[in-house]
Amino acid sequence: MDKRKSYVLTLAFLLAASTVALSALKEMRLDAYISIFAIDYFIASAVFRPRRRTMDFIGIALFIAFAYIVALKVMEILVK
Amino acid sequence: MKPTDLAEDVSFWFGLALAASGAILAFFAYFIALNVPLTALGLACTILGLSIAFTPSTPVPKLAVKAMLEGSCLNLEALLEEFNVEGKAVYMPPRDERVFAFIPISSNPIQIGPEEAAKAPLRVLTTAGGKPGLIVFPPGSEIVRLAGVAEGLTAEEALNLTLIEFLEGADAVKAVAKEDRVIVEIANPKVSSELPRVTRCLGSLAISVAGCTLAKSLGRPMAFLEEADEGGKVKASFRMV
Repeated sequence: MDKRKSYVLTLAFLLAASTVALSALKEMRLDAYISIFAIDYFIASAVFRPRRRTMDFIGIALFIAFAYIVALKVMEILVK
Repeated sequence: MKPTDLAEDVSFWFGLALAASGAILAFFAYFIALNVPLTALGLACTILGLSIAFTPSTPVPKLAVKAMLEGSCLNLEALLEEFNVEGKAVYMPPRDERVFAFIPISSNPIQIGPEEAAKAPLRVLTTAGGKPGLIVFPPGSEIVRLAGVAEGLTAEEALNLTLIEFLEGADAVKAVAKEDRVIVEIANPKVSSELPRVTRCLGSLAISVAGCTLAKSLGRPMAFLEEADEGGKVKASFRMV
């Protein structure tokens, strides 16, 4: 199986498994899902290093979202 | 990639459709159904769809690139035929950033030392230690330079970098170094050259790229010894000289 197929299948599996697992745990915070998706995406990208047509905009967007969520959590802890 | 290539790429449109469906699902689930897991499912579909859309389904070697690579060997074949070259190539570490191959015209290169070959004037028809030979820049020479192979990488790391990651020219590659020999095994090579003289002197295209890679990463001249096709796998051995 070529690298691209392996990457897409792995990413699909990780995203689906994360969604099912978190919803089975009755997780209702959307930021938890987004954080896990970001981790899934970066794991799959780091392992398979797929070729991109353009700059990795999805990775950048997920990284910004992840950093924002973490920053909010840190702020929450510091303000308490 | 040109817009026409993009338009013909089915996976690009499939990815975009999946991403759009996911975005619509996420929007309705979040604002209307107020369902977080369903929203997350929509986001997951969007991420997956965009990943599919922005990962080209036909990475290198595309047919044109493959044709150019194989075509570049035609000139080599003509040159080797013209000089009736019988010897096997010695892949030399880079001079002016490019790996080159010294191919003795006679089939008995034992007398030619690596120092002599390394000092040989850089021109097509040259002599090393008084023996006539050709100096050529195989296609792998430029591949090694562009892939950014650094000296000091192990044989297998360097081969993975050029043949798998940069060229995507094979499914897997293994390299075993034993004494002064390096045995390379390439699984399912996707580039080939059915040119008898080139294959005999330099090895098939994938093996030639491997030879250039080894010369660069190990920093030593690599003499191509033999190549065997074992049903989907190509095995070749090189000697460090």
